[in-house]
Amino acid sequence: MLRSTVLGSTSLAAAALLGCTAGPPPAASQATTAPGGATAQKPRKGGVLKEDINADPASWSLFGTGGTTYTMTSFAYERLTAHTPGSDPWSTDLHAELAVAMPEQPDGQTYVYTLHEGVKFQNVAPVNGRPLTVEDVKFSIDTITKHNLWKADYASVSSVTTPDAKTVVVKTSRPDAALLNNSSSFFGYRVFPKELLGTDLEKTNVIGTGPFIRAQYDQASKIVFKRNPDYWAPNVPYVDEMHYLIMPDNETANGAFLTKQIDILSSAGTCHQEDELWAKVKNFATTQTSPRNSPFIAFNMTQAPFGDVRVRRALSLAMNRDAQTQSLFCGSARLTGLLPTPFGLPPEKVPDLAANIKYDPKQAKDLLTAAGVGADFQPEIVWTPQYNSDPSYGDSLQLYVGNLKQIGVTATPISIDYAKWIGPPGVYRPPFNFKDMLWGTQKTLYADPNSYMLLWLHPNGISNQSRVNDPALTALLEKQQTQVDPSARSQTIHEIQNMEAKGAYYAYRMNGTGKVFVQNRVHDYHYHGSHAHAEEFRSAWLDNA
Amino acid sequence: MRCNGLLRRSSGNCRVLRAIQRPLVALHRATRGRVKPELILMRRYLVDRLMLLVVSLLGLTVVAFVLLQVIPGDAAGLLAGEDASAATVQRMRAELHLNDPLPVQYARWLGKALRGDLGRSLFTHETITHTLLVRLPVSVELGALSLLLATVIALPAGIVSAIKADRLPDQAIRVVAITGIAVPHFWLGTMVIVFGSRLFGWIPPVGYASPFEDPWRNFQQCAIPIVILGAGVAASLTRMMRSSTLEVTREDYIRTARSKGLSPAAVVRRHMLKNALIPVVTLFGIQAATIVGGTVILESIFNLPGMGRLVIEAINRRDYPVVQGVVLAFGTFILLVNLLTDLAYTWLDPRISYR
Repeated sequence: MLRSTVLGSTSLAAAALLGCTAGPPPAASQATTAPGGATAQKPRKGGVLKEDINADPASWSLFGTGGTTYTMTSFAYERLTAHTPGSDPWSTDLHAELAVAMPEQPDGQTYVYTLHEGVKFQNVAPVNGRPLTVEDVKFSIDTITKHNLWKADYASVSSVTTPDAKTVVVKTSRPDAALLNNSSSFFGYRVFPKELLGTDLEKTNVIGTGPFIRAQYDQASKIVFKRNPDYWAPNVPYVDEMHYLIMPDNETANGAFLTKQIDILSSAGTCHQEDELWAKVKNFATTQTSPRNSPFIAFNMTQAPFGDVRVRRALSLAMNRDAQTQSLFCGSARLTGLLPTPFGLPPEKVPDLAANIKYDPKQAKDLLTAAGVGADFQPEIVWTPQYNSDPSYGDSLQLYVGNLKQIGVTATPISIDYAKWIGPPGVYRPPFNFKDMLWGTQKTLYADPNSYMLLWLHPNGISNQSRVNDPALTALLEKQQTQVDPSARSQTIHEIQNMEAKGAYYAYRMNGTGKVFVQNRVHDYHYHGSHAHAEEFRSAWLDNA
Repeated sequence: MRCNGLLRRSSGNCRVLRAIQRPLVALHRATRGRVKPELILMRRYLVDRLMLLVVSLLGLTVVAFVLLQVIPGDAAGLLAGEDASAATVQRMRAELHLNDPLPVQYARWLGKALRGDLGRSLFTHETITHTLLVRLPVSVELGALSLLLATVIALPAGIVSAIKADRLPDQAIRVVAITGIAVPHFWLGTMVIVFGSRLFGWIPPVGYASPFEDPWRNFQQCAIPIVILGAGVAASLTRMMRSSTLEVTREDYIRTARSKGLSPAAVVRRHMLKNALIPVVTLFGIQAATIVGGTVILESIFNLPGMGRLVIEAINRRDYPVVQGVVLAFGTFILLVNLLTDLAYTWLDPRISYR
């Protein structure tokens, strides 16, 4: 089964060969501006930076999954190469992390990493600050690439060797275009001490080489990370401590930001809440954009009439996306389609997608009539309350049910408990136990375009809720996996986008650009919010530290 | 010594009950003849109730276990995440022993629980005992102080309302009590945060601190939810106190007490209070039982890591060991509260016997 990993780079070129940076990520690389527009300031060491999170990590396990688990464990576990926030909210850049530079690639199937010297594990029992060795790196990569959760992503990795005390060589059985991105993401080559494996610590604590040590965890209350005094990279991080305050209620988190009890607010809730908060904090805070992908609708194409492309197009044309933008996103929203830029073409450059996302109820009715769909067409749309942490999820469904009524289709939303949703047997996961339509949420921000395409479009994709089974499309999907030449791969991906849009296998909805609020006393902080989370804080520093 | 007839079939349970009975019977034998008959009766009553408590707890855990199994989905799917294959989830189920027959899973849990090991969370891998030790005190603090506040408000308010029935004080108290019952505590909590932050630039400090760690911070965090919870409970208790006091006021012995020339305060204190308290104690017991686990929304609003949030999260995640541990803790608490309520009746009204 194919599975996904975490988010992506500025372009495929950057992903593979170009645009990657040697050495550790830049620290304090740009001037910061105070509200009054003052110019560059020198970073100051010290201080406590506080941010909200809305739930405990589901697990602290080295092999745990889930957004908060990834973001929290990323402070301790580093990789050979890593993603860092890029020049726009949807993009990241690849940087060398524990490696001194991006790997040498003498051929398309060999990656040679040279480790930094002087790297130590955090000074926490049982590793007690011992030096990192190439054997640790090999052990980590072997463990990660063979683990049940990720072995499909690393199926191409055939061997990991350590020819000398500073070098790790990864060889693949075939060219793998996604490998560099995937190995740099949350599920990447995370380096951990072998002493953790097989002990309770593997599941309850995080001990790596990272810039922050988990010092305190109070369930349902707070998580405290302290700066690693033995961190191998010079001068960073600047802050002494990171405090994560667990606040499940939006209004409370907003109130905490308003009263300056937290420095970073990851989400203020709806766009109306964002606007209201902004009106009150604009004198002492700024905002950054939180990238979001398009939510989608899946169709059970094995069930009539969804196997007919005219019906799928009609159901897309019936959706009033302008109304969604105005009422749910305060007039500011975007649609990314199958792939966000910069991975693929924007919607306006994919002709069939551009045609499908217009609001045209008349054409929608005509298409249904042409497809022989009558008044007895009353589809069920399954959804899950778990996704209501996104305020627009449930509201957009209600709007859509109204849109369908206007073309004479009576749709019935069916709520499914989340545990049943992901099963097994699952609704969202194979065997996709839903009758007609599935109301999806925004996709995870993946590290590589491969995940967006294979999971949803390949016959074996574990998120292929529409049961897409197009041999020509499948051939292209498999072809791009091995195209390490960025421009060739780009072309194939564009073909995939066009083919997917032509088949209208999924319908896409608008999504707002969320805001992250940042107090002015925080400098050099660049939000990304996904697999580059720990990197957001590498260079951050505080006024009055 | 003998076990209850039902339990005699199960020698293992019989041994457990005998272990509980042994010290009590030894005490009884040692003090026989030197202790008042009422106390002997009370001890016997306590032993019977404790035995019943154990049986009730066993039944509770079985019901909770079965109900959680009936709900679709399990922890393995949630642990593996949306992007895991079905094969991966099945492997995880096997690792967590979720494929074992249900009686085997329950018996395994019970065997460990009887040895004091409540197991570990399937998600965080923390021991349940540790989790309960961390979360329970927060709920106990919230619950106990709000009940105390409710009592301090409700008893005098209810008495005054009854004594001054249909006059201005009574009407004012009744309006306030009705409002207290009608206004949902979670709405009140949200309004405190919304208006506090916007109008006064203040909300309770986020990041819980225990009263031993930082008493002032703890006070700031807990005072408002305690007042909100206490006010809600006080409203119900006030109305109950008023109605039971009114009933007692109409009794002949109260007229006799007044005609003897006793002051109003003495009439209330010596003759009215204990009799009026019986239905109030019943309601108090019910409120106490629900308040510890029924505060999940207030805990979320005020960032208090209590049992309410714990149990909701555990159920949503199908974290069976946590749910079982919480059910055990709640069940013990509720049954003990019921026992104390029953004991309180005999103190309030000596005519009520342990027989």
